[in-house]
Amino acid sequence: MDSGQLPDTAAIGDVIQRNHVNRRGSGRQTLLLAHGFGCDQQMWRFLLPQLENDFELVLFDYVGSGQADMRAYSRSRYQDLTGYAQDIVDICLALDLTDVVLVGHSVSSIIGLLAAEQLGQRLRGIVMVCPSPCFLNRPPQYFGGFEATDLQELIDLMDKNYIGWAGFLAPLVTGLEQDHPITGQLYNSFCTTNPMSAKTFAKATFFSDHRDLLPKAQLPVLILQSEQDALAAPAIGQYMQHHLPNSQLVVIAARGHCLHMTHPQEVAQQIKHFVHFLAVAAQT
Amino acid sequence: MITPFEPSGDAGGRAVGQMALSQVTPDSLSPDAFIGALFSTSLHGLQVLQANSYFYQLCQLAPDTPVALSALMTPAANIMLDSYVLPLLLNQGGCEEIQLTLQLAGRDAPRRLPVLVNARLQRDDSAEPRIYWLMTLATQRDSLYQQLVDLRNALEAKAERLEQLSQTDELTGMLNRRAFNSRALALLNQRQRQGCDAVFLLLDIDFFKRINDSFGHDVGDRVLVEVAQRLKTSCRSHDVLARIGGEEFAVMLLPEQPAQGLLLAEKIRRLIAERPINGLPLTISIGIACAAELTPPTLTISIMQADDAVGASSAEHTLPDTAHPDARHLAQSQQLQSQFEQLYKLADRRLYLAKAAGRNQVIAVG
Repeated sequence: MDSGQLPDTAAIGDVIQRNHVNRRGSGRQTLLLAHGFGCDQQMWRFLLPQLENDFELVLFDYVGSGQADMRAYSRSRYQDLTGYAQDIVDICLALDLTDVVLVGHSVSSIIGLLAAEQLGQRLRGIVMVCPSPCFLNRPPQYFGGFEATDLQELIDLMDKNYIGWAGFLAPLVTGLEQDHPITGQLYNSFCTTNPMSAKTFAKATFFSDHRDLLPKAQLPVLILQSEQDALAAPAIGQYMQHHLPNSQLVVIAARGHCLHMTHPQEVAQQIKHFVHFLAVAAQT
Repeated sequence: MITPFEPSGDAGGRAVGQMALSQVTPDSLSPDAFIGALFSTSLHGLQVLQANSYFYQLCQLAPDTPVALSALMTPAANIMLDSYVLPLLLNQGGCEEIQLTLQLAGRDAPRRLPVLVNARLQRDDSAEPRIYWLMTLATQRDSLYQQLVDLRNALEAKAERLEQLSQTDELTGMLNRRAFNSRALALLNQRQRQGCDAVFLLLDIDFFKRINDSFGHDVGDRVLVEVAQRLKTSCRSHDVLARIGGEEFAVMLLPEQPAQGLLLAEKIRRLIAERPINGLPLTISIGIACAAELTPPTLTISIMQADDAVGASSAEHTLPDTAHPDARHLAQSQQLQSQFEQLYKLADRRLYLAKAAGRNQVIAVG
């Protein structure tokens, strides 16, 4: 089967199992929650109680992460972000989702933009949590925060420290306040990863440059930016807002790269505002 | 008096050790006697609170210089600290043998030194929590690890290439027989879960031996490549198609409409017959079999279907406790294999009927 193609109707059951799709909550608006690198749908668990009374929630794991079906893994498909975008497209078609708002953490914001190119009207908008279109410095115009050698070193350090083998890869939570009430819980949130697929996802995440997608994206986007984030500095949020034609930027007074885990109430509030904004915009 | 630290592999490390030892009395257990950085930091901000002399030598700092550990690390090592080391410390109280990278000022560009750290978090109600660290150089271990990483990357790439080769028919670029069998079984499995049909087409080029005998194998090869090409253009991207023998091809599909398999076969038959290949008029015979024609589903399938009906994602929940998952899996795969063999036999018989009826035929019954 050519994985680059849309699934036919016969493949629906397989997409649900393949991506370990879970549906929760109820409401008129459907939110599709897309986890970032180094984790799986577990990372949404702090946000779920804030959302499930107002929205229908669709959670999933990318193939290669969490409890998705490893038999469906193909390194050639998942070596760049388009393969992950195809997972989102497959899920939207399999569940026949329409008017979805995608909530993507970090790299999944960009994966969402890639999926939007195929999904058209099915996607109403994207909420991006701590996004970056490119982690690499591209002087003189763009500074993603890292040199290629830094990112290669990070991948090598992950290799040399047996992170994947230990089945222990905490999400890239940077700069979290020690006295935050959920700190203890947060540090218990180990995600299921496979070393081979985690490394492929890491490379796809760290070395991609999708800045060219931003000006082309017409759909409404909400960017949630952390005040202090080692992986996505405030300038990156501003860059994204400047280049996404239909976007809003909200900076949350926080440290770290996982706002949905450290500040779930604020994130949920912003999502509700955004959905309301979309509804009002649709009426006028 | 601090000698500037210039590690040049093993010799550099020893030089520091000897220098440090010469400064202490033999029976002393002073932290400065150790060839390794011993230091404590705050939990919050990782500010260095106390350190032995080796620490300052290693980090090229004057003794007691105020510094945060993160300021001495590369960006990658800082991400590891935040997302791996600190979670381990907070969760388990300690960690051992973590490799990080120091980033030190060099003459032209920053110098990177691989280091190994062990750390322990000390929590005390009366005082601020502290982290106690042991840090040593890991230059040699790192180069060995790098070789292992490179070797594993090369092996993975090679294994992937070999796997691809083992599944591909070299001449046509289609799946080969082995790959077809395993994908066909996967389709049959998918069909069972979804309760739809699966259609199997067995195709054989008519009088192919004559082409090889009369025009040579290179012409025969060109014919095979072109037939493969016409097959590919007739099928959907998610149909499974393969060259499974000399002039024999196979297609397995999950049809959306009942007649889809028959229509596809007829389309292929016409596509081969209507246009000569390499100047040679050619035809193809096709036998079709459907999974729905086979013996009714057995117990395993009905369990799986019942499970689907209640919305569970896995059959394991409804199986009796006594059924071992491996046993269930084995029974299921044997059953799929037997289904596949029955399909194959049925299609093969109909292919024979198509040949007997004058070739250039599609036969789906009998």
